[in-house]
Amino acid sequence: MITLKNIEKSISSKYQRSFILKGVDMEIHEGDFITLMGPSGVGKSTLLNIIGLLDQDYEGEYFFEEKAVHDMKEKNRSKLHKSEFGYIFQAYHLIDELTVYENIETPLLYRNTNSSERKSIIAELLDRFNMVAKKDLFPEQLSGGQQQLVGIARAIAGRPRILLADEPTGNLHSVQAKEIMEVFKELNESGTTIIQATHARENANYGNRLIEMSDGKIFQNIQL
Amino acid sequence: MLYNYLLIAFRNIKRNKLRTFVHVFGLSLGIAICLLIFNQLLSAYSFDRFHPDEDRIYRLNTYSEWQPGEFFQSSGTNGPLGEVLDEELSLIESKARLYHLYETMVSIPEQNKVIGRKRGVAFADDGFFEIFPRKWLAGNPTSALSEPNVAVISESSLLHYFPGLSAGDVIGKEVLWVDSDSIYAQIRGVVADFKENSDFIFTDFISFKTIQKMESEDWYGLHSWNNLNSSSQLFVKVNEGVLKNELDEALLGISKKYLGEEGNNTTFIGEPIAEMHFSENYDDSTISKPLLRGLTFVGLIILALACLNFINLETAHAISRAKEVGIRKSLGSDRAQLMLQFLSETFLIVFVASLFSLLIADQIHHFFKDYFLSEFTFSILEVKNCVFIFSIALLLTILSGIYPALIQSSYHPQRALKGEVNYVNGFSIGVFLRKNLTIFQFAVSIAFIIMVAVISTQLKYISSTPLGFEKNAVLFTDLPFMGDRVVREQLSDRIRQESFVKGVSMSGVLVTSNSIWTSDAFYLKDTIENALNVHVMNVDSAFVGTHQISLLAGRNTNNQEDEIVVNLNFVKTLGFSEVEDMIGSTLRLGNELRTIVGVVDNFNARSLKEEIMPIVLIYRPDYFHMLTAKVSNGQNLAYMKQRLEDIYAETYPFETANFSFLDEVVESFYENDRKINGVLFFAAAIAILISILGLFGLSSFTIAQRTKEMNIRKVLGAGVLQIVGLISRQYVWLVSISFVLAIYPAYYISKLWLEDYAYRISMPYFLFAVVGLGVMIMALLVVGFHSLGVAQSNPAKVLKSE
Repeated sequence: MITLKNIEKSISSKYQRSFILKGVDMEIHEGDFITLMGPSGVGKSTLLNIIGLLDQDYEGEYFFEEKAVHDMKEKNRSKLHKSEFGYIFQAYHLIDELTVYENIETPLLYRNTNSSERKSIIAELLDRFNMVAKKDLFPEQLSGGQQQLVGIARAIAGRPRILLADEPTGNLHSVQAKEIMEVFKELNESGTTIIQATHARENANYGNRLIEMSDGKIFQNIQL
Repeated sequence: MLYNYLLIAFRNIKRNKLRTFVHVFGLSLGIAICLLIFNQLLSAYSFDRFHPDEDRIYRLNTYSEWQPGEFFQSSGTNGPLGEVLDEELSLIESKARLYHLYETMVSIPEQNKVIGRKRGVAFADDGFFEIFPRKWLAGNPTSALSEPNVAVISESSLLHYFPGLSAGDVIGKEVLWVDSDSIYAQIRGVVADFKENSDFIFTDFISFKTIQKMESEDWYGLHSWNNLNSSSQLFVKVNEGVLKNELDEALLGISKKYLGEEGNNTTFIGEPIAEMHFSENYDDSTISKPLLRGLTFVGLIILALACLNFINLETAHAISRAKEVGIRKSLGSDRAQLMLQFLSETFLIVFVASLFSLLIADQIHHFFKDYFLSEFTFSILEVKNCVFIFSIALLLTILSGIYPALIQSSYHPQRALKGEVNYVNGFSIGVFLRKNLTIFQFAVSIAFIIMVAVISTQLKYISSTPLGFEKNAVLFTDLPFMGDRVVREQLSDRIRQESFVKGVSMSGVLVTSNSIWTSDAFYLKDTIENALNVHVMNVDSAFVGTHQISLLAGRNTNNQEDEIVVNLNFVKTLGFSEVEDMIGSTLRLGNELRTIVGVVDNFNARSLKEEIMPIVLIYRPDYFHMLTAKVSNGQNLAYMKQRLEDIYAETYPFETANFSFLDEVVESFYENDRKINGVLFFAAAIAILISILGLFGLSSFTIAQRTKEMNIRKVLGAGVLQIVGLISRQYVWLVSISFVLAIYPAYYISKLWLEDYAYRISMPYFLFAVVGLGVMIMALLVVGFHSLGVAQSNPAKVLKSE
């Protein structure tokens, strides 16, 4: 599904060039649940951002189902981004001014989904995450776990094939974290490809591959 | 989608009340001012645009170079031009002649009823109604004025003169108009009044042929090519497709042919009818275009300030929206969609401001009525206002929204989410722009305030400058022009007998006025004639005493036509050092020789904008039409005015008695300047208000951003004063630079304005410094208010949460 060849990213300051990613090769298949692991600053988030088309500033080749993403025009890349990817953040990143309902609605608006379809998708998601009663609350009125559930609901609302999660449980305590990971597992079982970056080894057990990173390189690629 | 945008915009507006308040208040003030100026412009440009083919109608003007480089333009033309125009000009479709009278006594002989003095009486021909068609309630439009001694009146005059009668009833009735002579004329038609804005204020039209029949062409000054009277006017409607320069070309031919020698420096030109409201009309309600332009300029500057505020504050605030931008981009929003979102938010704010501006404009119009150049009604619900508001809302959304939207939508999603956008390396357009916009705002405000200060000082100086005559407790009135001399004397005798009256003088001119009669005078010295240009005033011998002008040498005239009194500047111009030397010498005015019997001190016979010329006081009682009475100070002026008017009404039962105060005349010279000052004051107040408001919003934000830094400094030992000083320092720079930038434009414009005055203050540089300092203090107060808050915050708390 996704092939990365020799991906490199570096920051040049006045006197030296320091690499964040160096020579990363990677193959992601449809239905994978991949966990990126490694200490802070190892380049996990950067890699996620590159895969998720949020960062175009890199060298190397990126193929999405045989299409060369690194050569793609902005317009096509944006289209690909909209149709295939969903994001989940460590700090949830809900829009504070919007309610739960409206937060989940936002990606659908950017995908020009019509109003009745929007309503049914959101109703289904709210139901699935047991949040019907909370749909008119604002993010600050929710607990962290609940906020992250909204974040997941928002991420999958547009029915992306790939879900990218950057430390999804980093701000949560263990019970909530477990809950979130169960949700991920369910999603994966119903066909969504998931790539998560995490510090927590136990989270990797939900996935099928563990990629350990070190100094901007892939250190180990373990099938679980 | 749009709903979602507006929803979030609305929530943002609600959440950030200070920001909303600053925006809405600043913008609505700016828009309100522009709305009023827009109405003013619309009203000024709406005059006489409704006549059919108004673009083909011209008023002929006389244009002459009376001295090399000095031009004179009059809306009048010589009488004979009206006669020959048809033969000489093939490119006109029709012409109209008009001779407007100032104030005419109207009466109805049949009913023995005196209506009183009335404005709006004119001689006109049938062509006038052809070029400016009206609805006819009675009479024949094409021939109503084709005979002598017939007239057409308007509906309003009909109601005034013949209450209860219909238009058809009054045809054939006789009306008497008394100007210099009695004009009996039969009504041949009744026309509707114009409902649109028009400078043609006339209500009574006497046929032009009446002038010829009366053999009074001489009196009206219509007989010769050499006589120009601004009351005698000529309108033409040119053929379709004829341009103004073709008309002027043809008119040049006529002036060459008929004016002879004078034709070399005098010609006729066509003035488009739409220009009338800006040059010369019939009730002195013209508007000066430069003033209108100045006003527009002021309005635009204020609006620009409000927009700059918006841009400034929004770009500063952009950082706080960065996270949202990052989220939205990661959710699939592209840049255009984000820009649209920010623009719709801007539109919402601007739109709310626009609605408020309607209310503000209404209030301003209500409270500052006197400052508007002409009367115009202002109603919130007029279509044109709604259209204006809506278009300006769109325009402002684009103008002020684009830049912040561009900035905000450009953020890199992953960096925005990490909150990295505010780390700028080296030069940043945003910060550069922000500082400069603020500097520009303050420079404009400071310049405005300096100008107001200079103008106010000059106006104060003017009202405190001795004029050389007493202006307080002096009443004057017009007397019927060319009236009976005996009746006039009776009136003045009766007034003189009143106990409160200290002196009565009759004259052809007021002691100080805008009008001037200049003449060449020849001073005879050892049989050599020295020529000098003098200001001639026709007054009686009581004039000097009544106005308390001091007599330097000699005596007053004894009401002898061959005796004159001159002023001090007359003596100086001739190069005499002793005023006594003047007495007894001879002056030739025209063909008459007169003896100088006295010298008076200088007095300002015109406004302080003019130098005092050599003045000659002559005595020609036939032309007296002004009576001035000095009354005793400290008594009830209203009572004395009433008493004088009673006496006047007894002497002239058919005239309207109306005494005015001399000091009000003096005030009125500077009326325009006072208005300018008022408008500028208002503009300056709003400009500084908007700027301070902007600074308030901006500093609250930038200071909040530095909270952490300040608290670390506190932990390291900085005191409250040091912190306030640290924050305030950059604002001191900001205001200082603004001040430096403001000085020159303010100086230049004030100087230009002051140069209008012959008697003026020297440039008050001290005031410049005071204004600069004042604005600095204001700005520091605003900044200090915020920085004090930061300085007093508890570092333990702030740093813990960071």
